[in-house]
Amino acid sequence: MRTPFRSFGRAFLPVALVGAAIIVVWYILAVRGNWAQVQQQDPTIRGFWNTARATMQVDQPWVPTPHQVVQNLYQSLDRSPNDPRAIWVHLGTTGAEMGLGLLAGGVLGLLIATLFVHSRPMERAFLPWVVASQTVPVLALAPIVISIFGITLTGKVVVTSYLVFFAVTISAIKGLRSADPLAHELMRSYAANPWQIYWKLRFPAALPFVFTGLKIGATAALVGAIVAELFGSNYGLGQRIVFASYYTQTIVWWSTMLAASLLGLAAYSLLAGAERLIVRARPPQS
Amino acid sequence: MIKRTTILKSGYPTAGAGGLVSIRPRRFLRYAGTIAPPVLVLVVVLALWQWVVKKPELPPPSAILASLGTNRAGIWASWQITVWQEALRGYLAGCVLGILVGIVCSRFDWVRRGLLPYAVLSNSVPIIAISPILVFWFGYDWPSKAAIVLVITFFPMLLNTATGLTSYSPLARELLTSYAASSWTIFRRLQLPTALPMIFNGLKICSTLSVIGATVAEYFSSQGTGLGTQINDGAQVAQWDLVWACVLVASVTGILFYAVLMILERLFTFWHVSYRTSD
Repeated sequence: MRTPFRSFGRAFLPVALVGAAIIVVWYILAVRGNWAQVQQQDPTIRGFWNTARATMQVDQPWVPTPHQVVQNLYQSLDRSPNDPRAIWVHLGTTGAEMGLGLLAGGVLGLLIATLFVHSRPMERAFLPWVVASQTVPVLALAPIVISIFGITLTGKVVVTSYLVFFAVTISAIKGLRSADPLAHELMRSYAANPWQIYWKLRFPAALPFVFTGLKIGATAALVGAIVAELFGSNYGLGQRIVFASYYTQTIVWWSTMLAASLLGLAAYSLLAGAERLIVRARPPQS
Repeated sequence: MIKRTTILKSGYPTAGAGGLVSIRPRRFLRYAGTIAPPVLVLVVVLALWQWVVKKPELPPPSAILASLGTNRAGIWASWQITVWQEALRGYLAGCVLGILVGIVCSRFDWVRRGLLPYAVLSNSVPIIAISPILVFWFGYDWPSKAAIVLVITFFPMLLNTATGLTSYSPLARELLTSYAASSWTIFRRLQLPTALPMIFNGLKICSTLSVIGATVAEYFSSQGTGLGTQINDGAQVAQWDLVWACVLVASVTGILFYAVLMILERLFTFWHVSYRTSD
């Protein structure tokens, strides 16, 4: 018998257990990793529990404990939004770079895919280069792009939108071609013009694929934004990592990582939610 | 022109075989039809870049190649560090680990349920940003970067292996079970063959990821002399031809790495549907 509770337990319990195991291992590593540091700082310390407790309260620990990381993130939330010690301004900057990149890259990718689907010569001439561009480490071009555009939002958006555009183009081409051939023929037999076929048939069919591309692109854009920020930025998660590196503030590294991961997950969930809202109206297609 | 005649010549010996004669030249024309347009685009872009674009950050291709020639000793040394020490070692470790854990996942459903959501989750997390942490732990030398490549390649490999090994047809499995096949036989004869295309897919994705990962990881720790460091340093002193030469080397390496895996894939999964041709 499968009650909702049991199926929930089947899906959730293993995940929770693995998560708990990761956290336990993390604490053990933190105690082990910071042990020598604690004894060096305070040679008089005695007893396992005293030392273990001290390993979790180090300022610049070798391995910060989960609660230190969460605490640091929580404290950095509780400041005025424009304070660079707060995470808000960094989250906002990187989020904007990512969001604008998704928007620009998504629109560009869709336009190019539309062009390719409607023009065979264009596709033949340019698609191989779109594919080949994936093998070029775009991130390796980040320092060049940032140098051309300076420490501006534009430079970062160029990097992020480039990363998004690729993922969207490839999936949108597939999507625009995925429309039911029978429906295509039907529309033709009713003398529908290409414009109508595009908006009524091909575009709706492509939407789920476009969202897949956007979801892949979202992480790529986040990585792109962070890496681009290394080469010059006033704010941003990447800038916060660089800043923490100068002062070896290990807890700040980890809390920035946590914030970046949450930003990535938030973008992914937002896109998944938008997909459900927009694509829901469509009947499921095989 | 030269190309065409040589191919045509090789087409002639079959001239006696009746209907087959015309196939080869036509096939060649089709081939040329797919190759020519992108090559034309490349030539136009390179020409524009060479003679029209005037920007210090975009040195002409000839200057980039010249820089590649003059700095070849340094670039070769960087290549060895970034590719041989960092990317390749991290790639091998990450892929082996990913495949092993993937096999464990396919054997124990419970582990799969617990682990795979985290592997999926890792897709939306910027893993490369942990570079400074790993550099802090393992030092500025190659192990820290190899560790990043390991982490980056591990999750796609795990996902592909675990999904591949569990996507066999249940009917085939029932048949094997009804013949009292051992679990090893099922693994060897059913699960592994079904999984191989997906495993190779993971290996291919990770090949380019590993080179990019190693290069970008070096940005975070500006010590050592890998390709990423050369790019970073070159950008800071505006030595753009060297930067582009390193980017070129990194790209070509990624493409070659991918190509090698494609050849291996064909060797190991020659029977797969995607390679069947009509003629």
